[in-house]
Amino acid sequence: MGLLALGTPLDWPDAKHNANHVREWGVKQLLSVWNRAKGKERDALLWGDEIEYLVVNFKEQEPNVTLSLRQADILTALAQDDKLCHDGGCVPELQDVGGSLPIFHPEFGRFMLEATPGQPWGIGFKDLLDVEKDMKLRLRKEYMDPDLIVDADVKQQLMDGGMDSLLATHFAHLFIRDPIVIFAEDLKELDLSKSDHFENLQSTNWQHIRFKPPPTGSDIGWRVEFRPMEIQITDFENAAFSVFIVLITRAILSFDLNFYIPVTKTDENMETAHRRDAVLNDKFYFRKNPFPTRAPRPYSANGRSTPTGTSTPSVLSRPPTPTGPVEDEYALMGIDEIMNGSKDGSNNEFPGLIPIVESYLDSMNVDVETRCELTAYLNLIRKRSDGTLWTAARWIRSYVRGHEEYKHDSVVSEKINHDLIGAVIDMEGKGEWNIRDAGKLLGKGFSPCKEGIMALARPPIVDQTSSGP
Amino acid sequence: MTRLILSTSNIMTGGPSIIRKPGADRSNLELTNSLRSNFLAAQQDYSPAGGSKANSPTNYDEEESLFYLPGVDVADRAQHTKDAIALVLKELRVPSIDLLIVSFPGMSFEGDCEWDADKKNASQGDDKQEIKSWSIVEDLYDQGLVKKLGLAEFGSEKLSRFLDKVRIPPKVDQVNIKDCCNVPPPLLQLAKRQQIELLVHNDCTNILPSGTLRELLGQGVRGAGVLSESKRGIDGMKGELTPEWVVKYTAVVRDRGVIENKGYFAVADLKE
Repeated sequence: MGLLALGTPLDWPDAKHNANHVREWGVKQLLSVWNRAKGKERDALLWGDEIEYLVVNFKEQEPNVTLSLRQADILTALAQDDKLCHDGGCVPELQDVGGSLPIFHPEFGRFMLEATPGQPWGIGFKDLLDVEKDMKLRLRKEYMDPDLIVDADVKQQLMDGGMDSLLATHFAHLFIRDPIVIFAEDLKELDLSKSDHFENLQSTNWQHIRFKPPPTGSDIGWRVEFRPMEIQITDFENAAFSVFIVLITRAILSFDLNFYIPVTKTDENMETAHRRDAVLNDKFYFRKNPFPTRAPRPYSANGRSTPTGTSTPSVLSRPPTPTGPVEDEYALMGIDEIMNGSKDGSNNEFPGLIPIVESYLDSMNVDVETRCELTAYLNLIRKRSDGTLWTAARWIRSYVRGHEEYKHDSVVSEKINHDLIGAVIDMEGKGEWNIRDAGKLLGKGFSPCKEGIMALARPPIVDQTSSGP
Repeated sequence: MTRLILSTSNIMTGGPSIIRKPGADRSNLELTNSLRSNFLAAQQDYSPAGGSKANSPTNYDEEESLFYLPGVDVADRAQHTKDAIALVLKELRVPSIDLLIVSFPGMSFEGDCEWDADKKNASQGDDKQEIKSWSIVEDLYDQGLVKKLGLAEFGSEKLSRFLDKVRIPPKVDQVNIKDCCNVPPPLLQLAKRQQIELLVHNDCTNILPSGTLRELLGQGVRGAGVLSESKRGIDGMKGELTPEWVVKYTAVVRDRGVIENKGYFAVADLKE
């Protein structure tokens, strides 16, 4: 939520009283932005990432770790940090400068901070190494949630303002909510050159995907935010997942892939994902065949009839023309199968998201060093998917269970808390090796430096837990 | 004598045949699968998938890889190159190509380790012929048909000798290294000094052996049924089939990293 201002909100009874006011002004601001930006085309594709940090007070020798409410102080210190300023980093709310080093924003709670890149990344492969995400959003009616609740008035207002039905439905669904936080100063006058009321409702809806109009005063273009990814412990892992998202979106656009399933099935998937070790044990709804279909010619060029019944080599199998029911399009698959592909001899022939990404990279010009680092990222995801490496959740559980003070009664004492946070800090900060089970989380030979990335990218020599071809 | 021109059309919407199986390396599977796929689609009267490419050449990066195949007279290369460029310019509807990569027969990057591969590479191919053929593409560069030149599978020693002799240096060397994290340092350093991009790819240089082509076009289970098996050519064309060259082309939307068009042409000579 990088567009928050520092301020003090109304109490709830007053906020509740003004909910409709904000909604109306939000709609007007949205239409204003939309009309300004709807014709934007042919922009170069840019992307960025947002990482949210919790600020804590941690001291090696003190037993308790607490949340720090020094968000404002930290931002001020960053703003006054001469070296950071000199290098171009900044806090935009407190300074005039913009640059290519990270920008820090206040986040919603006073113990939270957010960092975004100073400038968005471009699409060069070198840029990928610094992390990214963006996605093209496509909507067909049969995949929409049939129980979607929308505010009919809002939808009508938007359509009267020229917006198409699908987009109006989307925003009308967001606007059913009441704003939780309203700043009194903002209610005095409607400013159509700002989008604060729109953002109030937009940014307090925490959907998995957010469609963001260009912010006022910026030429930045439309953006899609991909939000369900869980934060990882190290920057390397966060980069790996972000880069993977960018690469898969490029591959989807290049190969014209279709991964649509009904939205209600993605909701079910999210529920399933909460289960312990879901990555190892559970199955998720996923589209069976992501490839585009070929339409038969309307007439026959040489009078030849199509062959009947003879076995077609699997490389030529074309998906049937889309006349079947939606339920036939998707199946339950485990994460290993979704990411790494169906194993030989299984019923499905799902290619796997990682092989798709690798085929995409094969067709692009990637220099050797970049390919090495990308391989390290893909290997991390491959191994998390097939169970070779642990997830952060599993590592945390194991750390607590293995702590000498843990009494196996679900109580995490201050000491356990302290040691766990210390381990997390050290893993990124010092790249320490003697952190328990760091290798199970990150792989053998990991260290934040380049050699470590090289080591992770090498194919394993002997690894009894790895599976697959 | 008959000249066969085979085309895959745009393979980006070709479905499963273009997805590499995990672990597979250096292959011509993409070419052979796509050709086979395209022949079958033509026989079953399927229209080509996807619309025709949009115009506006300045928004795309176009690239072409030209594979000179073994067993072909070097003197024919000039004509082959002209034909290859013409086919691709026509297919992509552009006046020039951004990058042309030349792949000579007999070159590879194989060995027990990457150092070993680099050493073996030093004695492969034929320096004199390669340098002579290079002048053909230098002409294309002079004419403005190609904006940047590149090579495939040149290790540090071959590349060094090559750079000494040619007028317009390659700006790209595409190598089929198994382990990207183990590029032999001499090659890395040479590339950095000479400002040559070292790119990674998956193609093998002998991309269309004649046996493979016979099978693709022949009467077998996975063949297109165009070539006859018998001497009298009752059920198809007959003769001695020699693949001459293969060209791979790619068009990528600039600033978006989206591949819009990728395909191959293969030309073979059929002599009775």
